[in-house]
Amino acid sequence: MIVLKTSDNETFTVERDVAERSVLIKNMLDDIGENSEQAIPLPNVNSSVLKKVLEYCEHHRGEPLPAADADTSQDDTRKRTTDISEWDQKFITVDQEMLFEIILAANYLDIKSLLDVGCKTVANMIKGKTPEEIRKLFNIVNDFTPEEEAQIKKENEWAEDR
Amino acid sequence: MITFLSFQPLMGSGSGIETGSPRTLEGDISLNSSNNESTRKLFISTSVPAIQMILPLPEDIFLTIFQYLGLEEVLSMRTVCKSFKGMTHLRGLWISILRKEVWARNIPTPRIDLDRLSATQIEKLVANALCLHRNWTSEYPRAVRRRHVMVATPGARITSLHFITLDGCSCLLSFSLTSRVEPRMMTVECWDLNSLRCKARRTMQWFGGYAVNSDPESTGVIAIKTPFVEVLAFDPSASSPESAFIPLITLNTAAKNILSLTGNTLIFRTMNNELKILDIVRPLYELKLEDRQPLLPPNQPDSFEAVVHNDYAIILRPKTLALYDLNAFRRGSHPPLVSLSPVQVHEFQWRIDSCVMQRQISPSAPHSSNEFKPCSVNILIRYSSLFPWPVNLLHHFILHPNHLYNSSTSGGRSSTATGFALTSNNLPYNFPPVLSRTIVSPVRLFAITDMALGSYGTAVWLDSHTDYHAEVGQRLAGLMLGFSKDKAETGGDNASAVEQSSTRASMVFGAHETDDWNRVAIDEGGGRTAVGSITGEIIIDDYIDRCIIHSQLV
Repeated sequence: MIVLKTSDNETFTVERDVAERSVLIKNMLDDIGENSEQAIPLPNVNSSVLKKVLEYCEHHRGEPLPAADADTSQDDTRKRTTDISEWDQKFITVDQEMLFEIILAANYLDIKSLLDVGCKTVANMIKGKTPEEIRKLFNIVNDFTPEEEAQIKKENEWAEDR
Repeated sequence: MITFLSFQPLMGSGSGIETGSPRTLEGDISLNSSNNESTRKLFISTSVPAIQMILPLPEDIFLTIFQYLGLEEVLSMRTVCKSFKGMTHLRGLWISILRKEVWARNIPTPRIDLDRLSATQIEKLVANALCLHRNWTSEYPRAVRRRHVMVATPGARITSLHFITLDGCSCLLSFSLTSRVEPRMMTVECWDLNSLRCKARRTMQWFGGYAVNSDPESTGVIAIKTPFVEVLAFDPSASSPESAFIPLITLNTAAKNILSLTGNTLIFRTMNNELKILDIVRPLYELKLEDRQPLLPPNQPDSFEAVVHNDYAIILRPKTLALYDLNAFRRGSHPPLVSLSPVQVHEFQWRIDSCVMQRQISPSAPHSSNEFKPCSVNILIRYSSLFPWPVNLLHHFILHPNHLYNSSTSGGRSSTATGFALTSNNLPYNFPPVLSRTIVSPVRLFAITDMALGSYGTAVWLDSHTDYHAEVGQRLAGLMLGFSKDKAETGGDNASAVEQSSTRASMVFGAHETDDWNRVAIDEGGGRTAVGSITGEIIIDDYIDRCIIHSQLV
């Protein structure tokens, strides 16, 4: 069993193969060695997010991890589709703040498949939205001058009625 | 570039997650402390960029998100804010868009070296490919430019046109019959497609048949039957076009007709109508290709198409499609063989009078020479039989590759000697060819016609009528045949896009006032067609405004 300690000082005890879905934790464990009782500090993850992340790791335990130096062409094939499996879909149906936190945690903990699920979800949220709706979605200000905006629209014209 | 400094204070409060890796935290601090002041000054002095940097997620993560967006969304993201706009100009993103929005959908692009293109150039390549595709798959494709070329001898009948790349430059090769009475004279001319200047010209006494090398990397560009079998090469340093085609090899082979040239492999017809194959660099070793054809009625075309690979040759003739094992021919067996029998033969129900055959480009990597993996072969034919077909029909057959095939060349050169043999258990293609669709030509097709087929599966053909000795038309029609629906080749999720492109109706490309068109060629990547006439005129139509990308991409 492995003990993980979050930023808000809560501890989680999980089985090793669940924790090792995170490449970061796996590498840390490899460094520390087998018999360490020490809790692993995760200063970038709070308890509510870690709980969610561990739920994901628990469900996907035992699945093969993607190779560290995955072939770029395979990578490309994978990125062609924004399909998300049913369980993952349900899992990732959370409010936007939690979604972003899961993505950040997955990025930090190096859980590639979870990061992909999160990014695909954000991509799906973007699809079909106007630039104004996208700004609202991410709470972004339009920092273009009207002239710049007109110029970009003009450059984009070729893609219309495709 | 977004730094953590810009959003950490905003994200940190109440979020519980802070970006940045703790493993390098110490390093970051020591590194930042020295720069801290200047960085802070930068943010204070330029308040606008500081605002644009407030993104809810780090840039790296947005880049991952961008990879899952389609072209439309990427362009839409570009208009959201400056930070996003910056990300939409990254090269990796456009390579991925080129792969999934263009190549995976089997949309033609010019032959290019991707490594030499910038992000902007790749973006333009995508834009051009999609604009061209939209134009070509519309019901009436619209030429944006029409140019006329006249061959050197007025009135010379064009006998064929070929788009080729010569010396890194897109060219059109035209063959025209300068004199039709004995001795017949053939002129071959090479036109630079940018300037329409003639780069090379040669007039020869002609005895029957010629072939343009289907391997664009080969030095020998053309094989032609003069009194000899001559292979011509292009000399870029020549002082005048008249001296730019130089004889590379002259063979004394007793050929009646030259049929095909691929690399160094030449296929020809002998005086007694046998098919033979030879290697032009060791011409004494020639083999007969056995394949009995029914006796053709006089004045009927003895159509011939070939796809030649290192291991095998696929040959389409008026009645059959045959596959030959070339391993013994390549090795030069002892004792020498006299003839090769086909490993597989498919006999068509009716005799074919017009045909084209072309290997389909691999959608995942269209311009890499993936010689080891067989690609499906598109075959477009017109039966000469009037029954039971309405006359204006074309038939598209696909010869599907056998993915389990073990090529003798796949293991590198070392295994060639011991290589895998083509046996009934190890064939590169699954015979027979499968009828993919029957095409009703939108232009009359009452007699033999000239057709051209690109390696992406775009076919064009001329209309034809039954007047004696006519073999001319005035309209050009075409169709995107779409490619093999073989899942293993296209990847599962592309199948729907494939279906769409292959079920489009045939389209009429262009028309012309006088009834004198007789030859056609297509350059799918460049978005061009060329039509030749019996009067020596060539019309080149461009279907994409080339000024957007221009010459870097040739």
